[in-house]
Amino acid sequence: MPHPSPAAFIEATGLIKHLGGHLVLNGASLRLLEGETLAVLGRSGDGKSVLLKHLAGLMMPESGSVRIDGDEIVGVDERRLGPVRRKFGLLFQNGALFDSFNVEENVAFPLLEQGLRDSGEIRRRVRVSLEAVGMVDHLMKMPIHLSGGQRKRVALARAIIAQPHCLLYDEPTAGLDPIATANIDRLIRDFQRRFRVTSLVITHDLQSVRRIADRIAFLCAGRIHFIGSPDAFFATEDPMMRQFLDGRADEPEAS
Amino acid sequence: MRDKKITGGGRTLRHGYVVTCSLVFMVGLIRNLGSWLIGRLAYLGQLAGLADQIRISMLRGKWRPRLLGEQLVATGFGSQLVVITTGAFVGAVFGFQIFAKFRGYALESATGAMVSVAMCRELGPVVTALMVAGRVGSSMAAEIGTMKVTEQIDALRALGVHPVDYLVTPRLLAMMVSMPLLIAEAIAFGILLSYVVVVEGFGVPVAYYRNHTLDSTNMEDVSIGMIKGFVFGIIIVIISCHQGLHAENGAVGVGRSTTEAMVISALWVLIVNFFLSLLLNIVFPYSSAA
Repeated sequence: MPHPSPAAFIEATGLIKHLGGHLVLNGASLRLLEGETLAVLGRSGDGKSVLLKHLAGLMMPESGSVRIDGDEIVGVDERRLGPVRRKFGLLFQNGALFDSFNVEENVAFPLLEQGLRDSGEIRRRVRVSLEAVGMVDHLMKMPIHLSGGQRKRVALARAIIAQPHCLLYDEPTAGLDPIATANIDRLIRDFQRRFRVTSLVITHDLQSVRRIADRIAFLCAGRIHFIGSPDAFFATEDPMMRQFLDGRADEPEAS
Repeated sequence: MRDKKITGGGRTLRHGYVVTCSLVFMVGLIRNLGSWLIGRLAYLGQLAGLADQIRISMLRGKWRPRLLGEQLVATGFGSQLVVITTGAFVGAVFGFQIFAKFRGYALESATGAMVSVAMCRELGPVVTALMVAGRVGSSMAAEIGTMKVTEQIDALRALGVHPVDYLVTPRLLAMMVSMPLLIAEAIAFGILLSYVVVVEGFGVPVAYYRNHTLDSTNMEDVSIGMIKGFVFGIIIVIISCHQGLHAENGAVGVGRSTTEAMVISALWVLIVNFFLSLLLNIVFPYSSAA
């Protein structure tokens, strides 16, 4: 008897989006299953971040559908998206910390916006979140005084403090040194294992993918070109994916 | 005969060329005018959309007293020095010019009345609005624009917070409270410095000056100033926040939004002031005593 396939937490179908006259998403479809970590790979400019913003409801497609936990979000009024968005945390490429708030205020922000008023409880949860990312000693610092890696860790603490069901990461290790990258990867893996958080990671860091991904999707020319296990991905003979994996330049060699 | 034909043909060709050029010019003109008009209408539509979002936010949004307090300090308290200085010197120079002209007709004691009514009805609200557009409006556009290009507004949205609720509504409420008060200050200091210049500087009798001023200025004049301030405040916030929310292309885009916020707000203040003056002069006509 076959196992029932896990439910999809996010299901995107046939997303089409033009930006600045260019077709960025050309019918992209994917399913993010409950409890898994899905890495979305692709070349720079192939629409990975745009896809992520569509999955989070921050951008709306010209056509197609996005369902989050069963709720359709395409065409839904911005004000009605609030409760749906609170089901997931989003880590932006540069952290997107509020630069007029210090670290503590940034991390406490989601709790305050959800109406929590007990300052003792807020402080305790902020500390727990910052401990999880190793930033508890930087409570009073302003974002401008943090390094790129520290900013991402604080942003991660902000994303997890409200205990979301799903985490979306937009290039969490871009621009970081190998040790900082390994630390972020460890955090992503920890969250997934400890809290069974469903995760989607946009990246083009192959080492990170090996460490964190349960499945891999390869985005090419605005479509999901491949989706499958890491083993199948790294063993692929598909010329486009092979070129990406081998890091070869655009023009194929003459021989 | 052949020459004539050739000449006639040349004329026809030249005529055809002129007609074609005229047509191309006309088509281009209509196209450019049409696209400019559509652009302006689309812009007005966006402003109306933002105004509607603010309305919804005021009715259903979350109440954020801390943000309102911060904005009251930034908008109202922070603008006082600029507004008082501007109002005072506009009143002083206006008083001096009126005095210089009226002296020729032995009407110098009426200077106070002129300054007072002009400051209340026109100069106070307009000058204050222009200064606030420059100081506060551009700052709003820059702050919100920077948040836009650094994805902080997307971060707000991702956390389930509507950007209009969080960024625009508190600013609008603060401006609606601050502007009438700032205008009142500008008017008061304008009248005061004009008094100093005309009475203390040129020796116009205090009693005449004061009596004329008080007799000529009534609650209607003050009300006009306050109403205009309220309306100008709304215009400045909606235009400036709209510019910030639509900023793109990094630092250059934020710079452009900031400049446009100031310029567009100032132009709208001046245009709306004209129509408001017409309307408010019907609602609050000059009394015969004045």
